[in-house]
Amino acid sequence: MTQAEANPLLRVTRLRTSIATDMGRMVVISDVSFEVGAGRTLCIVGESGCGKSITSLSIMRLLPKPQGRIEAGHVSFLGRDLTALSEREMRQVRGRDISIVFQEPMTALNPVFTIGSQLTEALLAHERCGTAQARARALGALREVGIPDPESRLDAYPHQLSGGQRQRVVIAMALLCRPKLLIADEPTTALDVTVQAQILELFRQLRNSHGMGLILITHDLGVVAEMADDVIVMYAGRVVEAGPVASIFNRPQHPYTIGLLGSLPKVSERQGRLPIVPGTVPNLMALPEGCGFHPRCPLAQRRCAVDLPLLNAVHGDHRAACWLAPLD
Amino acid sequence: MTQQSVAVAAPRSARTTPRALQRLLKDKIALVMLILLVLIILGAIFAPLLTSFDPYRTSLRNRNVPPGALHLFGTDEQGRDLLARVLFGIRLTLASGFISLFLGGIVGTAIGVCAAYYKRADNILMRAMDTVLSFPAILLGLAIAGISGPGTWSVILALAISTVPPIARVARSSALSVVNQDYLVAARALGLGDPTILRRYVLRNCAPSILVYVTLRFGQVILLGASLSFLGLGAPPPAAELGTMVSQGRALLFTAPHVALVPCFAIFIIVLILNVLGDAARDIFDPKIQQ
Repeated sequence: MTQAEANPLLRVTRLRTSIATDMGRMVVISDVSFEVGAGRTLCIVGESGCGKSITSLSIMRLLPKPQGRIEAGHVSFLGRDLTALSEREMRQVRGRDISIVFQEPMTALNPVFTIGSQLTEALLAHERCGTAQARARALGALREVGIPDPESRLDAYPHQLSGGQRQRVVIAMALLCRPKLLIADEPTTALDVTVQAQILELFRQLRNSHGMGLILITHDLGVVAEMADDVIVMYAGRVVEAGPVASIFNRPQHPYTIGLLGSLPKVSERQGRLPIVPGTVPNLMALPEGCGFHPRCPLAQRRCAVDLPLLNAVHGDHRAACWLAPLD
Repeated sequence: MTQQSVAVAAPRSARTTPRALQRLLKDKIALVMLILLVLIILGAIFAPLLTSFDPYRTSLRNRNVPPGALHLFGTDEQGRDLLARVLFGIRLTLASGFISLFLGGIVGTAIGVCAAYYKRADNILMRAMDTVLSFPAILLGLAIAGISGPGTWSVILALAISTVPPIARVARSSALSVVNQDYLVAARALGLGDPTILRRYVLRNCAPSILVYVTLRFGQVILLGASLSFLGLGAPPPAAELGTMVSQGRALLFTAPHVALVPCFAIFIIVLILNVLGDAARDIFDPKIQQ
């Protein structure tokens, strides 16, 4: 953590984003703050619809165009506030300084061009180099993500590749310009376990050799345990718990995190049914008063339904947004 | 894995182009129509070589000669050979139809694609298109001819303007389906600029549906062009123009029906061919109709 504080690659402060819907403007994330240092990995966990993807789109300023808007807060990348950049400056940042891998590999590639053409295009958008050199770089990138027979794949169209291969091409494309920060939105959901391990190993290598920062958005707590330095847990558009991975796993402080960890299947003890967190994510248009989690919380008290708890340090860097913390 | 290795063995160009060709070969009617169209186009291009008659030379001794051995399609009320005039007329008709479709297609595609991509401009652009669309094309042609005087270019301009809105609509709707694709967000995430995204992503992915629509539209444009010149908005009389020829032959409908019927028939054949081909193109390129 000291390293991250000394050299924050990305610092998100009190980010608040809203999306216009038919029913009016909906605040989808609020008060989201976190840091990613060079060479460090931050995992964002939480169930679907809690704002993980919106957070990454907000950082990249890729929110759906007229509807999405950053309402407040800053995204500081190497000291530059990304929310204040012009669209042209932002374009320079995208793909070169910060790359993103989306979760849907089947549709993330342009169907009418070859893999090679798309890879070189991504490269030439940021660097000047000859066609032969660009092709060589593209080839190297494909080899790096472990695509078999990369030479012939360069001339293949996306529909000729399997889902896993497409996802690896997308990852290769994101890593092509050696970004300082990679945001990976469920990058390995479409891949089988061996390939997943291979991709995570590649991320780890780049993190170590190039000091690449990594934001990993995932449902998979196993991946979190394996990859993360720090973890933030999001619920209904807010960060409910943040801290170093060991601390979160060993001493979770928020009832939601406890529920998430509790619903993990364990090989050692066979139970009948997996424990679940009852209920569903609340409608963001009609968030409950007080703590967003209180209707589902087994420990909820009267105060939880009235006042919104803020992130407070529990011990060290471990922070939780719960009136009952520390829960020991 | 076997499926993949097959895919690698046969690159895309070798797979899809013959497939389109194969389907065309299966569609016998479309094939015949295509051959006919090619013959007609060649006939129009090489018109001076096909007939020894000058389409403009009058011969008062041979007025209204019915179709026969010397004049295959007969002659008109000024003794001009109708075959020569029809061939030259087809030339003019096809050329003006093509030019107006080309111009209208480019403008319409640009407007439609921009409306889909720049959502802020969507309402303004598409309401403007609706406004143009609310004028009947004939009325638009009359207005344009009223401003710039009758002539081939007025017809072309009127046809082009009336082609813009429907093409813009088709382009917009097919671009909208592309704009919401993940690969577009991915392209922006790679730091690509709007011109590249519009050209390589949006336009390339909706080109098939736009092209098919343009082919379908060709017949209508020809028909509309003929109507405009029938109304006297096209090239003035001596010129060989199918619509004008019909209009002039109309006076002789009872004494020498072939003078009006020959150009009519030419228009009919061309429009029919283009419509059948347009339908065939849609069947061949529309992925939803693939069995």
